[in-house]
Amino acid sequence: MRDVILLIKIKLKMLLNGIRFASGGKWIKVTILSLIGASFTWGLYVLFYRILVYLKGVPLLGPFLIVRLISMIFLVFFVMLVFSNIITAFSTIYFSSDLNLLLLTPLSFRSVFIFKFFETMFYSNWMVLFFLLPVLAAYANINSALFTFYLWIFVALFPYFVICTSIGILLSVVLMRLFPSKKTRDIFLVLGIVLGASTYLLVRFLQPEKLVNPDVMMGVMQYLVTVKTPMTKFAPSFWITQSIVSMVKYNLGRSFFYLGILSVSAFLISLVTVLIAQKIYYTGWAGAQEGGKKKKPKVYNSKHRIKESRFPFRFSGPMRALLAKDIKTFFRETSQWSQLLLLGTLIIVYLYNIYKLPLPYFYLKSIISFLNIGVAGFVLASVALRFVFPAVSLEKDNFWIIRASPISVKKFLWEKFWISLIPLLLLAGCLIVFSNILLEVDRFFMILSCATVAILTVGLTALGTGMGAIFPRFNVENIAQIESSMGGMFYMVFSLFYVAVILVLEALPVRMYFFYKLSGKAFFNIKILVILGLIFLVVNVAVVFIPMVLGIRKIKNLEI
Amino acid sequence: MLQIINLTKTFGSLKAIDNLNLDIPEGEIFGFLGPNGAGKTTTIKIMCGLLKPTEGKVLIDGYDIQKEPEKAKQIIGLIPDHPFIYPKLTGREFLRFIGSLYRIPLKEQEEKIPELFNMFELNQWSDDLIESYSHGMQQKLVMSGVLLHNPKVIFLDEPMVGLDPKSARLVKEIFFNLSKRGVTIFMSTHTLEIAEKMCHRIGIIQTGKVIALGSKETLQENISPDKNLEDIFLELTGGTEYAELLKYL
Ligand SMILES: Nc1ncnc2c1ncn2[C@@H]1O[C@H](COP(=O)(O)OP(=O)(O)OP(=O)(O)O)[C@@H](O)[C@H]1O
Ligand SMILES: [Mg+2]
Repeated sequence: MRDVILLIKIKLKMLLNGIRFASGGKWIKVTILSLIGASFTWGLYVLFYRILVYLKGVPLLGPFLIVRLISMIFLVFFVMLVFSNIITAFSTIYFSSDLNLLLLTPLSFRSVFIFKFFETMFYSNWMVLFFLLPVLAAYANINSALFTFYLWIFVALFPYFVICTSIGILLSVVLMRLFPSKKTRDIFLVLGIVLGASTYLLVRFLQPEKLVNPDVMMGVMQYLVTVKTPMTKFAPSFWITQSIVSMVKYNLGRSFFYLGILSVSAFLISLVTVLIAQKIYYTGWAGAQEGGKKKKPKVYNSKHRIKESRFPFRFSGPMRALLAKDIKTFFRETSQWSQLLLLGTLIIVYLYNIYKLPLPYFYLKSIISFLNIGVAGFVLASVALRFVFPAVSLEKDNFWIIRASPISVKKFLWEKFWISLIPLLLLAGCLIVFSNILLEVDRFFMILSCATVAILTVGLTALGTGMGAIFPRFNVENIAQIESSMGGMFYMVFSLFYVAVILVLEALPVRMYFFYKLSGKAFFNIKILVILGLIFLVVNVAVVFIPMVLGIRKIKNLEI
Repeated sequence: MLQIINLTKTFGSLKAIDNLNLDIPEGEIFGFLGPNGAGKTTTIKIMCGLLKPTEGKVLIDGYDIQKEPEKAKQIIGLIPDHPFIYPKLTGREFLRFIGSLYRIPLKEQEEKIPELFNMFELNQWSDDLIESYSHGMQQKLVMSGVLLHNPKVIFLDEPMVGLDPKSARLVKEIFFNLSKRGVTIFMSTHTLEIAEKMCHRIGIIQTGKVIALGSKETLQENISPDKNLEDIFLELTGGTEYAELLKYL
């Protein structure tokens, strides 16, 4: 145990050093993120408080419904936490780079494992705390609970988290023992994304907005009352609900009883996890270091190769080589292509939302069609943040090959531009054409929005490529760190601003068109149109070329 | 062929290279020696355009690496000390990539790539992803890439680390032959035996300054005729002082 404490101490020291030596930019980022986080938490609290107030007002059933709701929340989080712990455990317990060092030292596997247990628990549960705390605070508030209740929440959550982490880690350890390969992690990553995406789709298709409607709300409540969940008595989510709910009612005996059950189970299951892991952890870890490659040695033989010469575009030899390399790398990296699944979900939800919009009048429909351009721009900007912005940073350790080769920096960066632009244009086209069909816009509007979105796509791609080059991050472990970097934030701010400017520039001409449609009289002011057109041109040229030129200059001066 | 003129490079307040001057003729194998942190890797990186010089310039076949980088880079090949290569490409794809990057005609690529795989005994692995290669195999692949595009100047940063004796011998012979055909080779190494056997001239660098320069024989003549290169190296770089300390280990 002394070893574990030592390891945790070192980890904390690293964390503190990260804070102590943080740059100014990092502080800004942290501040912005905390502000966003705080407002999110506040919003959640307000929302939940309202729901609870409403439920409390329901005659007879009110208190019962509230308990049901809280128990369901804990149940849903239980499933989610177990899954997120499985995935986190793969990275912390099997693929973390410090393991090579730790397992070399005379520390026992058990100590390393227990340390990794806490690390996993921290990483996969702290986010959930941000969801649960406002919810429970609202619950406490509505029952005007004492301050000690908040302490109780933490006391009860700890064994709850321990149980989730133990189950997650246990599953990952067993899985890794059965299928000791890097592939296992990849498969679970994809599974996780699919699970997350389908949950999201499901929630969306259930149309939670209908809950605002009292009739539907009543139906849901009847359902809640009638639904029987026999197994829940043996689930940790039930115990923690009982413990917390009893605490609010000052039913101390019952509260302590369930806390006891929770703690004892937490202790037992974590003990079992450690005991089992002690036996099989090492074998799984050793297996995880292998790529699982030798079974099919010639997977990538000439037949399966993407032939560079087949590209339909007239790019020069080096440009084609770069394109082929980027495409292959993308589709062979699970963490990369699997994101396409999320993208697919995003498109479905987007179109579904539009499909569900009530659009009675021409006027409202027109406004929404116009705003739809902005929404599409926002979606494209986020997609570009994920796929375009990291392009340069992803060259990482391999950048020397290109930098030492005779290909010019300019060509290199424009290659990155083209390779992002083409798929992004396809995506943009899909989004805008289908959503416009759903919105039943007229010909003029279809052309206007398609053209605008195409231009926006070009601008956003250049902005993403260029700013990705201006703010490269080579020393990162995963792509998420590139997105959430200072540069990524700047990119997001700039691109949203750009989309807004374009919309504003188009607002006036569009208004003129609507007036014309409604009144039959032409209000076209040629002078204003010409001025707006010129500004439009200048803005777009600037957005395409300034970031690209600055990016090229930055890479030229980059020292690697 | 290769000229380093008044080269200075500072990292913050640290002078990694201090007014370095070298002139290396065509076909020479030049050995660059020096203790850890002397500035060898930094020099090589500047010559390949991976770092910018603080002052001075580097000319490769007359082309300034900063002013005409594309022309200069077309004729150089680099084998760095940590040869990171795209883990998600196969060996063959990597060589095709390099071939196209340096505009080697497809036909020539198709002839040369199998030859290179044969020579470095990578045949068995040529269609495997590079992520499954060993360190030495990756290094041999990078060397194949360099040989594929026929450079006039080759930079090697500690090339023998990680190679098995057979491959090391092969590599030595390859570079020997290349130099006979007029290829200039600039090599940093810690293996004094290699420097002794292979290099026409040797430069010893310490804290960014050249402290000795010449063929092995001239070095011996000028410094201490009866000593071998290792002794000379240690004498120049101050390694002998540690003899006392070593007693306590
Ligand atoms: N990117 C950098 N930033 C700051 N200092 C650096 C950087 N790269 C190198 N240095 C410093 O420059 C000096 C020379 O380093 P260099 O890597 O050239 O040494 P070397 O001769 O290759 O050593 P070795 O034999 O260990 O490979 C060292 O003091 C090193 O700390
Ligand atoms: Mg070095």
